Amino acid sequence: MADTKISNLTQAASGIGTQEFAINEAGTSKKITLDQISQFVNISGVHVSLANDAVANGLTTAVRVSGMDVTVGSGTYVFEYYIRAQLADTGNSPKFAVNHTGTVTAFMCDFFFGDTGVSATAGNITQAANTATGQIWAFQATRTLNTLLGPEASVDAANSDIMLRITGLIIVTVSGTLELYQASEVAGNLMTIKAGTCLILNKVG
Amino acid sequence: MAGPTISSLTQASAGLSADEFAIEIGDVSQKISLSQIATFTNASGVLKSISTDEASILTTSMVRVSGMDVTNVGSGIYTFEYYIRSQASITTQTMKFAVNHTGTTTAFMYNLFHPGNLNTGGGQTVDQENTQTSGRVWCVNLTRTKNATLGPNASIDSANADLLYRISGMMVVTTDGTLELYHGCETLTGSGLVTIKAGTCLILKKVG
Repeated sequence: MADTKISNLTQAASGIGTQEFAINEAGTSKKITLDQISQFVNISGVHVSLANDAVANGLTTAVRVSGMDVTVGSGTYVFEYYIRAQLADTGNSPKFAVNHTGTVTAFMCDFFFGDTGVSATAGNITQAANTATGQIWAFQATRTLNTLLGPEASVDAANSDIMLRITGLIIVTVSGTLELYQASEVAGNLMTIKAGTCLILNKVG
Repeated sequence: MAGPTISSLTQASAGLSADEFAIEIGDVSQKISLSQIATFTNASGVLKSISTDEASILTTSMVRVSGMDVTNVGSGIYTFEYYIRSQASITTQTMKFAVNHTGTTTAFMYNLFHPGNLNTGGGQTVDQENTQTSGRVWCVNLTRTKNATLGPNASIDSANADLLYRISGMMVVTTDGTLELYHGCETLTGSGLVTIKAGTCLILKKVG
């Protein structure tokens, strides 16, 4: 590095994860990337998203949404999935599970969807309901890793976006991969996890 | 600063709080630690959690969850979101919660959410295990009064098993104070202990 005052350097257009910084770590000169700094600071959590649609499938058994994997080490985390999904048949409905391949000492998650019911849940997922009474924001819940939540009864429209949410809390003691799984209610009826599906993972302890 | 190029340095395995960076402040070279950078950047997102269980309680009075205090929450607009991992030792015991700010606020609202046991409103059993096809109703208690007690409900699905409560809220602070979480028991009957468990956390964001 040339002997140049920092203020004389060219301003970077923006921060990029691979940018490197010189540091002193306990008396030893090392470098650190902006990704590592971000991970430490946890400014806004880890974001993972699908840039492209996942392969459609009609399996009733759980299939990993591979583009949503994230390595999660020891610590306490809260997570929030925003899942954009489409089903080819309104008689089909989705199932989801969240898993961690390491060791966890606590895990809870709630799966939310907009329901057509106004006084009671019907299990009919809707993304286009706007009555004066409002509809029910329905949920299913578990405290067990890798437990499929769902299915429900139906969706309001075939091949149309529905937004599903999964929120939860996890305490990890041995690092592993946080995974999202999906399955269909009805065998052979296709479901697609669409581009834009994302995870916000915050390390809180 | 003379020396080797940054790329030739040994890659750190991870960021550590004591890692030091060279900086320049008004033409003066100084150093800053990674923990200082974290403190600055987290000004818009304080993450708070407890790493060990709080002492179990058996009282209907509200008790501060001391490990969840966030001091020096100063003037500004904030949103807050608590993820509360809680257990009771008997199924007929439930919890109640309150959020307080010890300074001055001009607006304060928060909602306590719990997973209900019904597919209609008012599921008073807090139920963390539910895979019903119809889904169930996520229940809410609400207030616009600081330090108002929300809850309790009637029962829980399982003794000594995790329940995930959520509290979402916003506040407008005009005078610095401490943001506090309180909890209490529904009843003394049956001597059911309530415990706030490790992992309970808060995401506090300064948005204005």
